[in-house]
Parts: sequence; structure tokens; C-alpha cells
Amino acid sequence: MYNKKAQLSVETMIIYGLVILFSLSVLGLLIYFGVLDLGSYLPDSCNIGGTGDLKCEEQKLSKTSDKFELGIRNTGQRPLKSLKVSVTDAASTHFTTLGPIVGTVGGTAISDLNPLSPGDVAVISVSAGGDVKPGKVLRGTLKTAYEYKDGVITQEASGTIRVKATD
Amino acid sequence: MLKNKSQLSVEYLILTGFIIGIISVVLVVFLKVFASGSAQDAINAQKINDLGDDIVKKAKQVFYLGLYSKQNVEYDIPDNVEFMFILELTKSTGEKFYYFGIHAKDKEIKKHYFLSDVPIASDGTLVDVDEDDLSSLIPECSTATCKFYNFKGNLINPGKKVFKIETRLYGAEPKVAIVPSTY
Repeated sequence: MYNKKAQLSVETMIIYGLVILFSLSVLGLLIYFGVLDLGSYLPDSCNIGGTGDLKCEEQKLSKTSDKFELGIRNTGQRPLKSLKVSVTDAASTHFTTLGPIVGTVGGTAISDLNPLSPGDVAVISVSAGGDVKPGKVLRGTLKTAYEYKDGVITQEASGTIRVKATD
Repeated sequence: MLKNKSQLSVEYLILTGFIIGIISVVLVVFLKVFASGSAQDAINAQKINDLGDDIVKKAKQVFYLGLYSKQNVEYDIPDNVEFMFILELTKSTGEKFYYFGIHAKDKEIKKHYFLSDVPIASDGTLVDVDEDDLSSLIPECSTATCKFYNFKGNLINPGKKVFKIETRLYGAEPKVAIVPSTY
């Protein structure tokens, strides 16, 4: 009686283990071959690392408008007289590289006469090249180059972006 | 009785193995996501920004407090600093710009420049400070005259470092000297 019970529970556990192992393997294969993209369930994100001057707050990639757009806030304490952004799509899903894109504020390009004041948001908007695939995620890198209004050196910062293309 | 014991130990082994497996998977995912190089890079970048922002802010305070005012400041130097320097850039028009610069090495070289509102300098005769020309690292120096004060050796090694910020006369011009606190 005890023997039978023991065998049954060991067999049950082994079967459970095998089923779990098999399920995980299938899941792993689906992810590996790109059938299942878990990253597409993550929220959009955009960050510019390595600088206390800029913060990427908005991101959009749209098929209808064929536009790639970013909103970058000046979180530093000095106005900026130039801001340029380049975007690289790591998997070349939608495009290869865009830019350098000149940032605008109030609809006009950022310049010495129209600087990006501390706290303001610069709009980065550019044509995405006509090959946006809705539902697919853009994973890539951002490279920014900016200059303080009273400065002479071009500062650089790079970051990452993940945004799901919309219709 | 003995069979009961053997069943128990096999069950125990299988359970232990299974739990270790799950813990390992979770641990690997956790380390990849949270404790990876990028998290460390972000911490280092934050330390560098804190250091640079604060040092130019303190320099401004000390400068406006007047000649020979001084202050000691302590900073935590991250482990990826490759160059730390003061740059005096003079344009062809004679206009001068002062920067506190830090080049850090992560997966790529990251350059941080903190513009100073007041003239800053150091002392190239001190140990761990020199005036070697680093113009090749800064493209803007190709069209301007650049003078460097480089902090090196122990000063850019990771850990707490104390600097003395003092308003001094360089010739007839008052500038804020940023030097290791031992001098």
C-alpha cells in the first residue's frame, strides 16, 4: 500500500517536472526564433543616460503620419542653443538611422536666438522613411548632441529607446 | 519502514533540485536586468553629474565670497573615470570659457563637461596634477587655444576624495583654484 503511494507521488512529480520543462523549452524556442516577442508587452520607454541636462519624456512612432517623434525636456540649469538627436534602429525593423534631427521649441528650431530654456520640452520630429510596421517594436539607441547657450563645447549623451509603432 | 525513508529522500531530492532550478533562473534574470553594467553605468553617471555640478557651483560661491576665501569639499569618485580636468578655452576673439571636464569609460567613452561661470584653474606643480595638453580629446580645441589642468593618479581613483576650492590670484587675475586638499 505504502509502496504504491510512494511510486505514484514520485511519478506525479516527475511528470509535473517534465511538463514544466517542456513548456519552458517551447516558450524559450518561440522567443528565440522571434515568434513571441515579450518585449512588445512592455511599456514604451526612452532614456538619455549620462547627463543631468536632458530627459526624454515622450516618444511616438506612427504609420499614419509616418513620423518619429520625441519630447526631450531640458532638466539642467542652463538654456541650450542647439540640440540634435540621432536614432538607430538596432534590428532595422522600421529604418536604419534617422538624423541628426534638429530639436524645435515653439515650432522653431532651437538656436542662439530661440534657446531651449530650463524646464522646457524640445520636440524632435522627423519623417520615419515610409516603412513603419504597426505593432512592431523599435528598439534602438539615441545619440544627442547639445550646446549650452553660453558655452562652446558640444556635449554628447547617448541612451536607449523602446517604442511600439502605432497605426 | 526503509522504503518509506527512501521515498522521502527521493522526493526531497527532487523538490530541492526543482527549487534550486527556479531560484537560479530568477537570479539570472534579476542579475541580467538590475545588476548589469547598465545599472552600474547609471550610478556612475549620476556620481559624475553630482560631482561636476557641485564643483562649479561651489567655485562660483567661493569666487564671489572674495579673494582667499576657501572651502573643502568631498566627492565620491566613481570607478570609471579616465580623465578629470579643468579646461580654459580661449577663442580667437580672446573670449575665455572655463569647463570642469570628466571623461568616463563605460562601454564607450562618455564625456561630461560642466561650464563654470567663474574662472577656474588648478596648480600643475602639485603631485597628481599636471598641465599636459589634452586638446586631441576635444574637437573645439582645434580652433581655439586650450589650457588644461589634469587631475590624475590617486585623485581619479575610486573612493572619497577631498578638494580645496580657493580664490587665488593668478598673475593679476583672481581665479578659483581647485586643488587636492592636502596642499
